[in-house]
Amino acid sequence: MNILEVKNLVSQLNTEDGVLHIINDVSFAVKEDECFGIIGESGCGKTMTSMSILGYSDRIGLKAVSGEILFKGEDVLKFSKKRLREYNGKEAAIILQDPMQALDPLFTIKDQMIETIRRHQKVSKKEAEKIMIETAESLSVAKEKLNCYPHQLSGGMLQRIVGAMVLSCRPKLIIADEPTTALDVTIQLQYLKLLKRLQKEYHTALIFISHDIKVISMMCDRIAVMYAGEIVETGTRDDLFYHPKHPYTQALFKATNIDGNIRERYETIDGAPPNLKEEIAGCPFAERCQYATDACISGKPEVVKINDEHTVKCRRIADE
Amino acid sequence: MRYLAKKIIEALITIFIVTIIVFLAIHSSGDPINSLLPDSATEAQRQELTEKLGLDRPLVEQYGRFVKDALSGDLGTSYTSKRPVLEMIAEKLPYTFELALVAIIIAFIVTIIFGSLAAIWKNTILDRIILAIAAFFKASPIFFIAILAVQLLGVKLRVLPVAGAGTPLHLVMPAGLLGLAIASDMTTLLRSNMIAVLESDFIKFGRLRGLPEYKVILKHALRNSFSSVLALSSFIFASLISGSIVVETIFAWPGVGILSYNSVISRDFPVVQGIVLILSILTILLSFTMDALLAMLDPRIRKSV
Ligand SMILES: Nc1ncnc2c1ncn2[C@@H]1O[C@H](COP(=O)(O)OP(=O)(O)OP(=O)(O)O)[C@@H](O)[C@H]1O
Ligand SMILES: [Mg+2]
Repeated sequence: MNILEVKNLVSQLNTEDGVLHIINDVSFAVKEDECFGIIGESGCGKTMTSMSILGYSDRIGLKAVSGEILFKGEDVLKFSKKRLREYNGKEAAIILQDPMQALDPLFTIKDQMIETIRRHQKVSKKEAEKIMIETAESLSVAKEKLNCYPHQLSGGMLQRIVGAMVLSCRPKLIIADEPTTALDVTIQLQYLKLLKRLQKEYHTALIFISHDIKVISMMCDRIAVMYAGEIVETGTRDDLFYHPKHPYTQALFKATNIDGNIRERYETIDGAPPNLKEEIAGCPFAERCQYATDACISGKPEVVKINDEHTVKCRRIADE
Repeated sequence: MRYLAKKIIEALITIFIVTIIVFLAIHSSGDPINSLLPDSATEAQRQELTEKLGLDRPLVEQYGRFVKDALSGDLGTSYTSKRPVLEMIAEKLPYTFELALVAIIIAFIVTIIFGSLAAIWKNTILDRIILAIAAFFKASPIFFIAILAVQLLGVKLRVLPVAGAGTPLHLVMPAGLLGLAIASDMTTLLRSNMIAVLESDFIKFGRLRGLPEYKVILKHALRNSFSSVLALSSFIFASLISGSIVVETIFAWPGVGILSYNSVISRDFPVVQGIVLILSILTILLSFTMDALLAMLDPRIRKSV
């Protein structure tokens, strides 16, 4: 069962110097219980996609031009403000990149956790406290830490607290947007393992966003590769590791192997991603692609289905 | 505790410097003999009075005597009214207190309401109007606005008394104007601060946790942006004091402001020095209160205490 289906989403950002084409015909589906990864280099639209899924795009000036975002069959883009407040936190929640900035510095952890729990569940203060302590324990957050203010705690601890806050409302979908990039390397792995375990334990779907292949492959069952506001390839982890089809995916995964023995970070690809100010007529990667033909530059590639899970948007594959 | 000790020492140094500056300023700008004696007075009479008031002594000695007396609670006697300075100030202080307190309350209410509204609806017409009114209050001298208000509310519409004290209605114009004058700075500060706070991650995360908007604004955004306004307290009190002198004079409000105006004009040294001393002590006490309030609001400051 799919908990989330993004269908042909096109979104634009209105800025002072014109319209930016941020999300260009993005489609993907996330199943209940699975961990779905989105990988792509900085600026390709990962955060904008997650904000859209959470119905937060209007607030940041991102307008959905067409397409739909179906959460359990209901279009998030058509949610009323009231419906959105129910949805945020209770049904779909997010773990932001920087845990140091995520909490209000003027209130204790406890205050903010209870506030969140009681927002979504009709429980007394006492019961809310019980839920808080239970969830905190499952993320190995000691009870005493809950009385602290955010500035008194480390980044790793805060990210676990944010995790506990999010999980305390038992959302069906959690988006983790590069949740470990602000943490120490030693803490990163520990946190990721914890997140993975809890995702299984709580039976929630997790959209895991990262630009780090190592991390994505450790966490995710299925992966989407994003480039300049488009998803160029989707597949299971094995599909992408052993049989990457899109030239961009291939370049991305080239120096990596599935056993986790990363020989080096992926090779840098010559050139830069396209300017989002203009609508791109063809394949967004064409300019940097060694196989590109005139057709690639002038027209959008079809989505090619390799198998049930594996799809790729590339003319070269379609022509084969 | 070390924090408190440091604050107190800082305060004492401030009082010391302020009194010295005022002492020097007033002594170097002429002496009171001319205004105390009739024009027909002889040189001998002048000499006698100067000696009697101790004005012939070196400045250092005069200042030393002022400090010594002040420490024993004696602020001297007024040259003009011959009454103890402390008594004269004590008589006026409650009026100034009342005026200042009401003005501060008005300023805080106005700031919270309009600063928040302007921040939430930044770059809309509402925001522009609020900013324009604030700019008007900031740019116009307070006496100018006071005269406009007197003309409109006191003379044309006759809804408010134009001078004196006694009823709450008497307080409306002076305290209102003083409050608005301070609020103009505080409002723009709160606005720009709240705009920054509203863009921060914890507000975004608050909304994405599903918190209702009123809670996001009133609990999280307002509290975080207000601390910067409180941190401005010393500035607020400076404009409160200078503003109250003007406002009291225009509206004949019987407070310390008028007293200080009159005593500066007549070079009544003991009264001027006494007022400055007491006002600086009060200002420092008030800014202590604001610091305490700030510490209550912000745990990061509490920690460093
Ligand atoms: N306020 C803004 N004004 C102009 N452009 C913006 C703004 N916010 C985002 N963008 C652009 O939108 C695009 C997508 O941004 P997004 O934050 O989704 O990228 P991302 O994939 O999350 O990158 P990162 O890995 O750096 O977080 C970027 O190219 C960025 O330049
Ligand atoms: Mg991002």
